[in-house]
Amino acid sequence: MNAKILLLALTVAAFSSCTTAYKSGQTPDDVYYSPIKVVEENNNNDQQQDQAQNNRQTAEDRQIRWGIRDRRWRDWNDDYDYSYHNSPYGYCSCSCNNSGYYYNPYYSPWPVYNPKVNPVMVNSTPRMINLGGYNGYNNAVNSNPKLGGNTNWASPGKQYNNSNNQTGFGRVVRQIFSPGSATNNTGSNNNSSSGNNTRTYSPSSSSSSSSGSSSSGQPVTRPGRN
Amino acid sequence: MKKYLLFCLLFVSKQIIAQVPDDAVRYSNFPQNGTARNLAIGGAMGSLGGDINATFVNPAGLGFYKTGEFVFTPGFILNNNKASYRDTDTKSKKNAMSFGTSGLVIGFPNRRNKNSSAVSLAITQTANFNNQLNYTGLNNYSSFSEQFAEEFAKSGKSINEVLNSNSIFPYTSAPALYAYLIDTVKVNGVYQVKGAPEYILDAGQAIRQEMTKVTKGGITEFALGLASNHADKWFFGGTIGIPYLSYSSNMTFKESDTSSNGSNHFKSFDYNDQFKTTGWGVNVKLGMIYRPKEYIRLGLALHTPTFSSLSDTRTTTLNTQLENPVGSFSASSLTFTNNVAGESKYFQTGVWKLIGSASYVFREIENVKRQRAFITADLEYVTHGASRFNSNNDQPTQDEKNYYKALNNVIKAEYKGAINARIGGELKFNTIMGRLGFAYYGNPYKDAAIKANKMLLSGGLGYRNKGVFFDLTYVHNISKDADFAYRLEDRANTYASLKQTRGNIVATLGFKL
Repeated sequence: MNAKILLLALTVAAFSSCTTAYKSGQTPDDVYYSPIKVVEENNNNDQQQDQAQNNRQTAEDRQIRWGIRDRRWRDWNDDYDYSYHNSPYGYCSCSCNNSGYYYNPYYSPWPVYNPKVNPVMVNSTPRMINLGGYNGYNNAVNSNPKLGGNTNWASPGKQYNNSNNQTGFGRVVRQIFSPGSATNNTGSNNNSSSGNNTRTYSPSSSSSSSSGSSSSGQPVTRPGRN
Repeated sequence: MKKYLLFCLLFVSKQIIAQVPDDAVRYSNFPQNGTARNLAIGGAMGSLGGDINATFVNPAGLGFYKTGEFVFTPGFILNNNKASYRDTDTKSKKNAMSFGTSGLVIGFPNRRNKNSSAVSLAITQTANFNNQLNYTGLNNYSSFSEQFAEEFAKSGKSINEVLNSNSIFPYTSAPALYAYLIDTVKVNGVYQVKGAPEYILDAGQAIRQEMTKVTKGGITEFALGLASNHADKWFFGGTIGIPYLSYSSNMTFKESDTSSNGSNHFKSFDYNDQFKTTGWGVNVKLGMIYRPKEYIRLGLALHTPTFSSLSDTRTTTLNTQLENPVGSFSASSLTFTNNVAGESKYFQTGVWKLIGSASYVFREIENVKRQRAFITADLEYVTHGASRFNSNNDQPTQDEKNYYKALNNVIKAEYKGAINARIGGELKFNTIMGRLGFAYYGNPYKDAAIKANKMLLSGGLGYRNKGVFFDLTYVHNISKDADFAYRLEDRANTYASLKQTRGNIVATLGFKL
């Protein structure tokens, strides 16, 4: 956190120093009008640059003149530099900003593809949802809005039950279409109330035993119930 | 043999199918973010220009820059939610940090004529998902567990096919079957799948439901904007945006028996679902602004959909307490995902945006002491129903293709194009500025019963002098929405109606370069 504050303070200080051009005059507002920077300022800059260039040229001329007179001045700024730091073979030690590609028999310049072997299989099942739930509950019983209650009637095929009103429409639907009052969830009881076709347990590969698996994974056994 | 087994496992692990429709609107239905100045005027930036946020709205607006500036925009949001679920109201709140548009823009004037060009490098938090939602209520109609019963029954799979270490329903039906939240019963000689809480509902009683969802993350977009100005008359611009999406959800849903009956099969369960979505995307924004007269600006912008490559990681846990016979059971999705959190990868194509805009600027002159005011307005059309999901598999299976097709059809059927409007203005008094704004974001749902819109009221102050400017803004966001904790195919759905207010305090510090 302190590092962030410090970074922010440094950024503010850096950009504050850049606003020197507008500290004395008006601060432009680009929404209304964006002016071109003051020309005099640029002329001054140009003049300063010209002066600097003249100074450099003067120094070079002076060096050449001294070199003609005395050979001890001739090696300055020689184009050939055999110093360790600028070795053409790229053996940099500290001051070079090298990219990492060297002529070095112990250092391969090519990226080595190292395939990542993941022995653990990652289950890639997505966040699925029964898309039928978006289509809206559509049943002939629902077609009569006079059934009342607080059920919202949105559009044909889209009804919502957002209230617990016992006389409401949603309650009627629950009683008609619930699977009944079965009392055991082990699959052994036989009840007589009306069923719900959409939740029929009818596996295509019938297997009701607790062992075996048709999937790629290992079978997981449910804990027992008393 | 081991190689063959590994090959089989890898093949199975590539069976990526799809996501859920709600993701589509989550990543498209949010108000526009910006600098404090821009947010104070409702976010309207389709034709005004001269603000770095033009990078994300109409990049042609960058063409107004002949100078340069750097801006930094931190913010703080205060969420207050009121949820009405089955006649019961619940409140929740959550505060979080945020940030608006920040970055650098530099203008390059041509000294020989009125032409110029500009470039911007900007970042903004396009969407902020930090929030917490709670609701509770009695329900005598349906149970959260029924979605698992429905899923399992429709699958045509046996119990043993679902209960294995690489299950096809590792987060939902598998834990529900393992912990006996759902099971098979014989009715009229036919086996059916039933949730334990349904015994209470069938007896005419209600169950208590509680939902808590904590969401975090946001969409952070990096952008490079370029613009050109032709004789201060025509302005053209383009932006390449690279959004990074990070969304995490931690949802817990509880159901409990409200009666004193200790033998009605069900006492309680709590189901926890944690998932995180991350990924990068890319989009393009193009725009133009025409200035027919000195004070008038007309803008047009088009945003292409964001093409994203996303990845989900997910784990769920379930604890049940059952009666008759009494028993407590716990299940984790890790049991059904080889003890490693599941991960799915997919592509999403976002929505198109078309923005038309007009501005009237009083006194477009260089002397800032004589600059007076502006008023600006945007009209935006967003194609919420155009979002699409696709597999990132090289060779998607037919099941995948079918699911994606169905998913995209549901998105097309559920969501519609919405019209958003933003309007705002500024009064300028030399170095001090005052601003007001308003924005309205339309309902993305086709279903008229679901109320979902947003209204933003905003105001702010600004100070600009000596090469530095500072803007402070407050945005009050009042929104309506609906939250479906679960959806059922064979019963009417139930949802929580949400009324949310979000206060957003935003400050921008800028430096002229």
